[in-house]
Amino acid sequence: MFRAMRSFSLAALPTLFGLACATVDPPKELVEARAEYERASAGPAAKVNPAGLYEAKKALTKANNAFEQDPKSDDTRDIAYIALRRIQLATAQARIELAGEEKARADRERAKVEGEQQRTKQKLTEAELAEIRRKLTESEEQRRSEAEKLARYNEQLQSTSQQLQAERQARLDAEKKADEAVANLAKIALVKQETRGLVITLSGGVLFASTKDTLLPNARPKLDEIAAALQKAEADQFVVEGHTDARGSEATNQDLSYRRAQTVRDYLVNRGVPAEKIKAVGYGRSRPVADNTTAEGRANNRRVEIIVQPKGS
Amino acid sequence: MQKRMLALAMFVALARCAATPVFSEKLASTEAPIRAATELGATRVPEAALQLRLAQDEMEMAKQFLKDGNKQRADWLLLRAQADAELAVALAREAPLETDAKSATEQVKALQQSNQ
Repeated sequence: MFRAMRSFSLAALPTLFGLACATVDPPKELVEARAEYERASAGPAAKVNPAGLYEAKKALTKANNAFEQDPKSDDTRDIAYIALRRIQLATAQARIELAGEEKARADRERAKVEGEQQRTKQKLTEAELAEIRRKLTESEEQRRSEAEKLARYNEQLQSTSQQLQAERQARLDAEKKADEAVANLAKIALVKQETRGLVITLSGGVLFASTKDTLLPNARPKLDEIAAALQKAEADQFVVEGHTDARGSEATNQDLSYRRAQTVRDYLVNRGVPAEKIKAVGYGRSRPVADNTTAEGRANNRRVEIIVQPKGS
Repeated sequence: MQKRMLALAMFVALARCAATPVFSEKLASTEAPIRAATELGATRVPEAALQLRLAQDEMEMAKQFLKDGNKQRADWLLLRAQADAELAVALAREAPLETDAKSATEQVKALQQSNQ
């Protein structure tokens, strides 16, 4: 019986402690530790620091047990205080773990972004390179085109130069021919170079009988030679001028000088000198070249002059 | 016989000393995290500084209780000091790591924005 009583009292002991506990408020350290554990187990520690949280739970259980056994003792408060710190430690360690993970994640992300930047930069560089190649090709084409243009200019220049040379030669030849013609003319007439042009003077007595305007037979071969020379001459215009001496009336002389000039002109045209290039003018006695008081002077004044007006004069 | 008893008593005392750490060993176990927290710059982190201060005060109180002959309270206070000091170490480590992590994240965000 006593043994049964004893065993009953031993079995009822925790219940009795429980009843006692129910009447005593837990110390604030234990209250705080329980609340802290609730927060911790709902927070990141459960995931990232389960071992730390398990240790904290063990410390809390120890504190709860101590409270059950001796709710008012200082030891219970100390054990609860230590449990609270263990829980806080588990949470702090979880935060450290998370910070480490965040840092690692940021570092990975940074490496990724920098890699992308590098690739973008590389792409950009490739694009720039392509642009440079394109410009190079373009400038090469431009250079080739300019070289071709230059070659064409050179050909043209050479051609122009040859043409000029040919023209110069032609001019020299023409001048030579003209000189030869003048030399030939000098044999049959007086040839002078004056400001109005080359002046070929034929004596009136050689061409015409006195007061007549028809050519003497001997005049024709001379005029033939003159016609040939005029056709070769580089001239714009030929003017046939008739001049008389001072004997007789002015009107008669004027008329005679014109008719004689006209006769010579017509003959020369008939011999091939272009009609549009040659004209006849009568000056009568108005332009003597010698003294009319002497027979020789008068003979010199009776004359026909052919003025060869060179091109561009 | 008396000598035997004395020897037995000494043996028992020595055996007890060997089984439970002496106070100086417990003190060393508390001083180590306090030193570590200080070296980690706990004084510059307000939360860590508070835990460090608590640990140091409790350690001093423990020494006083020991001097006063209350060894049990002294032991408990050392355990409390140790727990505070260990928390101070963790808080001192956490602060710069969090700053680093936040700064790295912000830098990456800025980099991503500048990339767009």
